[in-house]
Amino acid sequence: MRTWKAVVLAALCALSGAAAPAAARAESTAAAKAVKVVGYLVKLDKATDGKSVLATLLVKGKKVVVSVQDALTLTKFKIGKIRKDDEIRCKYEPGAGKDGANLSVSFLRTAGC
Amino acid sequence: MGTGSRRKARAAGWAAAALLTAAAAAPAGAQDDALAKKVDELTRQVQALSAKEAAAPEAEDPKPRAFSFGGDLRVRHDVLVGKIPSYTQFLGTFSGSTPNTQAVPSQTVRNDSLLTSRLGLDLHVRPMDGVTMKVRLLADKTWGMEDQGATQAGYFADRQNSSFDGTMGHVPADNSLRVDQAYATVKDLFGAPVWFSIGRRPSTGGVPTNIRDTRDVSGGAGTPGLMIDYAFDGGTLGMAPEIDALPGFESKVCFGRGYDSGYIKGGVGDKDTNMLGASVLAYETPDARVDLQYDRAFGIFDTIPGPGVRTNLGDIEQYGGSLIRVFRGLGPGDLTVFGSGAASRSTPNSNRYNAGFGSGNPGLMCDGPDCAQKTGYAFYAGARYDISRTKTKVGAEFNRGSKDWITFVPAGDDVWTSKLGTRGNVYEAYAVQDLGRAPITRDARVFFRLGWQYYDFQYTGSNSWVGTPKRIKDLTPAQMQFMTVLKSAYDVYTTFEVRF
Repeated sequence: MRTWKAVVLAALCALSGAAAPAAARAESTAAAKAVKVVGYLVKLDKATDGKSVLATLLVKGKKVVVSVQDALTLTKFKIGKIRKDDEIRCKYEPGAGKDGANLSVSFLRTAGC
Repeated sequence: MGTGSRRKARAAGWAAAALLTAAAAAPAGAQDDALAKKVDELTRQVQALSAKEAAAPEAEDPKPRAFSFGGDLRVRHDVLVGKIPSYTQFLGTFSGSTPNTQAVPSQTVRNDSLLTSRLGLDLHVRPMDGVTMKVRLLADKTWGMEDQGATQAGYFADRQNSSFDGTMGHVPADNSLRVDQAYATVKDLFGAPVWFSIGRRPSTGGVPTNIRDTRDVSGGAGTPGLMIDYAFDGGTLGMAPEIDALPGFESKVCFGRGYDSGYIKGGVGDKDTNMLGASVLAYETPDARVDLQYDRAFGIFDTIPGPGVRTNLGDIEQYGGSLIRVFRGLGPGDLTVFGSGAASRSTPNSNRYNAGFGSGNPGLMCDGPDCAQKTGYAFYAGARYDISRTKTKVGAEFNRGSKDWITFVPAGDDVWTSKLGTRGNVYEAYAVQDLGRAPITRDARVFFRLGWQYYDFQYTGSNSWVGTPKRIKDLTPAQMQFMTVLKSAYDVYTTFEVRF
């Protein structure tokens, strides 16, 4: 019995090891399809890891939450260059962030006078 | 369900549990019935509260504001002292063909106490997605006066005898609330980062003059302050492609109307003055910014825009740019340094300002019949150090304009004359102290400012494009002047300001 258990466990580990690269490939393919949106910044929350910010955008009446991690944008949040109510042009990768969060690739105030 | 209702439900649940426990231990009989009734009642309350919680909608995230208001009030005190050299003043009249003049001896002019109040009101509206409108109303008043006599003293063209379209609300006058800005912008044209904006433009107080004014400027709105500080009516078409190597890149083409000649009879008369320019915000991060601009004024008017204009004198174009760099965490604060440079080129036509001198009338940056293109230069640099713990800012600036430097900055926030149009050197130092109390409105600030400016005028006609500039220290009696000549001046000023 112990022998069968060991064999099954070993097989499971081997299968997981083989599946991981495949999963990674699938994930990177999905991540490459970035989404572009224009919306209003309605909320900023510090993420639990303390190293990123979760920004909630209102895009055509629907909420989109993206995780912002780049230092430049985080500095803009900190010094008030980007604030609540600003109209934002955002490009993000769905599910590419930690715990499946949308990962911001580009987070800019819309240009204009 | 709100927090209060949850607390009630929990409390009711605990009460029910306590009563059940008590009921299990209590003696049988009438007391049991009363207890049982209470337990039933509490159970019903808990169930009702739980049902309410399940039915309540999820708390909604806030929506963006469609309207926002802001403004500012400034009270300012100036001590103004100027030195007039000896020179010959043209009195504006002739005896026959001989101009009437007066020899003016060197002397000091001063206003030991000028008090002004300036009120600004801002309204920002989002009527629909991707469309914004901004309005700024401005009034700038001399205490005790309902006219501009205290500051429009005829020393310089931009402070000659009255404010005009480009300076309304920016130089002390009466208590009229003027429209300083009123424009609408449509963004995201064709689903791209392209925008169109039109109306009375945000063309005053541009970078890097915002540093002295302790205002934050982001994005490509506005114009470089060394070249344009003038309340223009016009429009912009801009685009902002995302370029990885150039974060914050924006570019735009701008146009404006500086003067409208009205109806022209028989095709004879002065023409409109129009401006066209191209501006690039080449690079912007929180710590650095680079701006570049080219602009050209077509058919520049011969005097203050209004009923006195008689002709167009030619074109003026400018090339220039600015660089701002912020060093954060340098000691107990942040250091901002900036530099701005520009060149101006005047291209006169055959028209002249009619001063009664016939063939000797002045033209665009020239006197008499022989007018050539002239090129001038200016440089403006400074620094400001912000101490975050004490909310203190200290700054110093220097600008220099060459003999033939001409620019469009009459709305500059200076009393003698807009300092960035000076043909000479200007030195300025200032300190700002914030009150530091907790803000209630967004962007609230209350602060005091102490400043000192010193003007070293080297050539006549700062901020004027009529006539040839002359070296002040070499003026001869034959070189009569239209306006009072100043060779130097200083201004010690204090302000109290509220912004919200």
